[in-house]
This record gives sequence, C-alpha cells and structure tokens, in this order.
Amino acid sequence: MRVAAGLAGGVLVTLGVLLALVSIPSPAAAHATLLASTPEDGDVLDALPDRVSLEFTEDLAQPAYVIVRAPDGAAVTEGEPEVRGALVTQMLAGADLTGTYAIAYRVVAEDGHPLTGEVRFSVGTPTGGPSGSVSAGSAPRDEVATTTTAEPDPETSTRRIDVAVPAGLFAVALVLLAWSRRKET
Amino acid sequence: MAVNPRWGRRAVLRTGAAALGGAGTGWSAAVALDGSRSVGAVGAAGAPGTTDAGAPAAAIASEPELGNQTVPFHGPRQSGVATPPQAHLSLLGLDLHQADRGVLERLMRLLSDDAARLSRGLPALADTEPELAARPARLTMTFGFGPRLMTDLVPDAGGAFDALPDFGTDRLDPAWGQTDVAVQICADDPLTVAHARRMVLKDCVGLARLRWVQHGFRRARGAEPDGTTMRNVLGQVDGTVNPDQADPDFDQLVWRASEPLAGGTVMVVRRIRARMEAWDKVDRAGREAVVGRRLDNGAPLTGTREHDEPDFEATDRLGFPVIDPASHVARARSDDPAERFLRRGYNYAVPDPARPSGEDSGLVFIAYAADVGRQFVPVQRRLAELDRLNTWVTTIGSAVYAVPPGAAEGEFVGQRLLGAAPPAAEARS
Repeated sequence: MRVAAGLAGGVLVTLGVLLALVSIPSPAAAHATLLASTPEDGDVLDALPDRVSLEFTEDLAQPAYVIVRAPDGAAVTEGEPEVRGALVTQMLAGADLTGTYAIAYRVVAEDGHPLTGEVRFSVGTPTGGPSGSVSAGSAPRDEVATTTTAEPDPETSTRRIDVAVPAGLFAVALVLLAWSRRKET
Repeated sequence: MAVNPRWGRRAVLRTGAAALGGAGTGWSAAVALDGSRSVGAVGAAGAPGTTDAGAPAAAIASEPELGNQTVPFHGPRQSGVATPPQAHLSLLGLDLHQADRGVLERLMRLLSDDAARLSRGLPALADTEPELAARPARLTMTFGFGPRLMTDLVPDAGGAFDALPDFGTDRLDPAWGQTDVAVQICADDPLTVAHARRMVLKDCVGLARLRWVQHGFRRARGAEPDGTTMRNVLGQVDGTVNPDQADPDFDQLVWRASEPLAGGTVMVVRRIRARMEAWDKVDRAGREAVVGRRLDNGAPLTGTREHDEPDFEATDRLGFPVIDPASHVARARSDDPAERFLRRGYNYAVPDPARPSGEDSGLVFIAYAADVGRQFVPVQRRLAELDRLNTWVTTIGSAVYAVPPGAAEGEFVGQRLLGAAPPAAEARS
C-alpha cells in the first residue's frame, strides 16, 4: 500500500510538472524581434549619422514609425521611415548636440504583431538620455505594444498565478516525498 | 498533532505529497483546458455575464413569440433598410432575361405581392407550404435595381447613382458581381427566410435568372439584448459608429430627397472575404492594434466603453499615437460628417474544401446611403489606400442598386419609378 501511495504520488507529481510546463506561456519566440540596428544600442559615435536603420527578424507591414530624439528631447527625424522587407531606415536632420540619443520605434510585423522599443546611442559623451525619453539607465529592449491601458495586464497576472500556484504545490509535494524517502532508510 | 499509529509518518507524508501533487495537477489541468479563462475574465465586465443564467432565460420565456412579430411592408419607404437588422439574411442577385420594362413590372408585381403577404404571416399566392409562412419573424423583403435597368428603363435616371469606381485592393470575382435586381430577404428565423426565398425564386421562372445568393447571419434574436452592435467573424465589434434612427442626420444620410428616387436609397453590396488562416496567427495585441479598438467591448484603444470617442491625438510613453494612424478606425474616420452611411451587414461562412480552414467566411457588407459617391466612396478610397486590416480582408464581390421608395397598398415596388400605369388598370390586363 505504501509502495502504491508512493508510486501514485510520484506519477501525479511527474504529471503535474509536465502539465505545469505545458501551461507556462511560451515566450514570444514566434514573433518578430529587433535583430540589429545602426547604430547599435550603446554605441558612442563621433558625429550624428545622417540616418538610422533597424533590422527585424521578420518582414514588416507598411507603415512603420520611428522617432529619434536628441539629448534635449527634440525630434531629429526627417521625413517618413522607409520600410524594405525587414529593414526600416529613417533619415535624420542635422543636429550638433552631443550626448545620448534615443531611437524609438513602433513597427508591425507582416503577421500583424506590433513591436515597440527603443535603442540608445551617444554622440561624443553619453548623457542620461533625451529629456523627452523614458526609463533612463538600462537599455530598453523589444516590448510588445500594450494596446489598452498602462495598468497591469490581467491576462499576464492570471498566467503568473497559474504557474506559481501549481509550482509551489509541486515543490512542497517533492519535499514531503523526499522526506518520506529519507526516513524510510 | 498526534499521529494515528495505523498511519505511519511516511504514509502521511506520502499522502500529503500525493494530495498536493494532485492539487497542482488539477490546477494546471484546469489552466490547460480552460485557455480562454483569462479572456473571459476580461470580457466579463462588458458582456452579459454567464453567471446570472436565470435572468436571460426568464426574459426569453416571457417575450411574446419572436416568430409572430411583423414589419409592415407597405409604406413610403421600403422596409429592411432602417429596420433593426434581423438575425438572418438571404440576398438574391437576379438577372432579367430581357432588360424590358414589361418583364420588370411583371416580376415586381409578383414579388411585391409575395412580400406583402409573407411579411404579415400569410401564405404567398399558390403557396405550396403555407404553414411555413405562419411565422413572419419580422420578415422584410427589400428590392433594388441595378445600373443596367436604371439606365435603360427609368426615364431621367441620370445622376440617380453611379457604379462604384475601382478600388486597388478589390479582387472581384464576376460570380459575385453586379446583377439587374437585388432582393434582400431578412428575418429572425432561418426557415422563414428559406420559405420567402423559395417563393421569390418560383416567381422568377420565365422572367429572371438567379445569379447568386449571399446568405448571412448575426447572433440569434434573443441571444443578446436588441440593439447590441454586431460582431463579425474576426471577432470584432463591427458598426459602433453606425447612425441609428435617433440620429438627427439619419434621414438625410439614408433617404434620397430628389426625384426620381425620392424616398428611396442606394444599396451597396460588397462581399468581403476574411483570411481566417492568417488572422489565426495574429495575437490579441495585434488584432486590437490593427483595428484600433479593444476586442472585449469594442472600445477605442484610448477609451474604456464602446461608444467612447477615439482620441487620435493620445500618445504612448514613447510618443507614438495609441491608435495607429494606419488602423482601421483611424482610416475609416472622417472629419466630414457627410462621409457616413448606414451599414447593415451580415457574416457569411460557406464550405470551401480548397482552403486550409475548410470554409470561406467573411462579411456580406451591405450599406445604404442617399449619395454613395459622396458618402461611401471617399471612405472606401481611404481604406483601399491604407488600412492595416487589408492584410486579412479582401473584397471579392461588389454591386450597387437603386432602392425605390416603398409601395402603397395595392402598388408594387418601383411602380412610380418605372412610370407604370395605375395598378387597378394594369392588374386586370
């Protein structure tokens, strides 16, 4: 009977772990991400280039949106960005300010997935970043465009609970099981 | 805590482990099986809840029979235009054997008689299944004449309407193209629609040939509150800004004031196919961004309720507009209040084994406007030029029809338009 109980527990735990793994939301591996940019994030240049380009992992739908901000927060973009396949090119107007610039982008992959993010580079000496920009410090990477409001996404928090609770239960179960084994010997 | 000697510590521990493992398994299984739970939670705020099941059920039971409700056929304006859309549609595209006034008159006399009887719940003349007529379920039959008939048969029809221009995104299949006559049959019951359709087709023998039928559906009457904006097969709330009869501009937008179509309107029919296989690959964020509205309640991405005005100036933290200027709502919207019209569309879904999804589905877009060139064409031009939704929807059929004013008792639809003799003399001949 004890063997049976142990077996049953083991089977249940294994099954539960498998199911928990299945229920973990898969990362957005299927979606487009930023592959490379010119300049790269964190680059320090001698002068402001006449254009910036962003390359993504998938072809993009028209149109794309790019805003490049100078250290003083002013936009230095000139004209509309050009989309060719997975590449977006944005011409820049001349600016002689030194400091940190931010390239903000919003693109839509051909599969309809929207992608928003920011890349920073500096001319001369890096500064905190454009005044009109967000989150100084760590370089923001790709992020999914939030579509409704800034409040936490209820779906995401629900998913977190759905992973955390069973994971916690399994952890305690495993500890109990291990404990029972040790006392046996 | 005392341990029952029959229950060894190990057994207790194992039992506990099994119980916890089981609970975890159950939780995960529930999550895996109920993938839509989080979606449902989001939608619960706006949608009628599933929890108070008693209320809707009681409402349906106490409702007078939907099947007995009628919409008058006779009147200054045809029914089926301003009529709140019924649940089911059969739109028939007919070609006359001859573009001849006599042929059209005979056809319209027969069909108007059918419509007058069937809309009251009475059998059509020589109805072989009279019992099927007993539930009119708000049956309306609305008639329109194509450009060929208008040009050839109607005196001074010039300027009444123009054929639609070519739109770059259209991929028109002649099988869904312009016909001489359109008959829009709508009712809240599909058998009522089927019966009316059969009566129409019987009367067409020797006069006209059926080119196409476009069946359409909305939610069943009673499945949601009357007046709820429809959802299309893409899952979107579709038609939020549709003018309703309470709108002071409604009459001006829909009904023509000048002869020869005074009291009538113009019907635009567009068969819009949705590429569901591709749409399936778009996640929720993408779907909402493409249209500029939330999926749960149709609110603009800058608002919280369906009828909130979209704020096209609002920007996100990076400075980009919250509502993409290339989104469907942004492109369809006009500052010109004249660029509005009445939409009265229906979903369609027909088998198509050649497609991966097994069916061809989309929207039978039906719109009514007093002046199509002024009201509809500019909007459609903008959408054809740029609309993110175009990746997933394609217009495969297109037609326009002049919708004559309604018929008085004893008249047939189009009688005055065709300049026909008074009904009493004609009917005996």
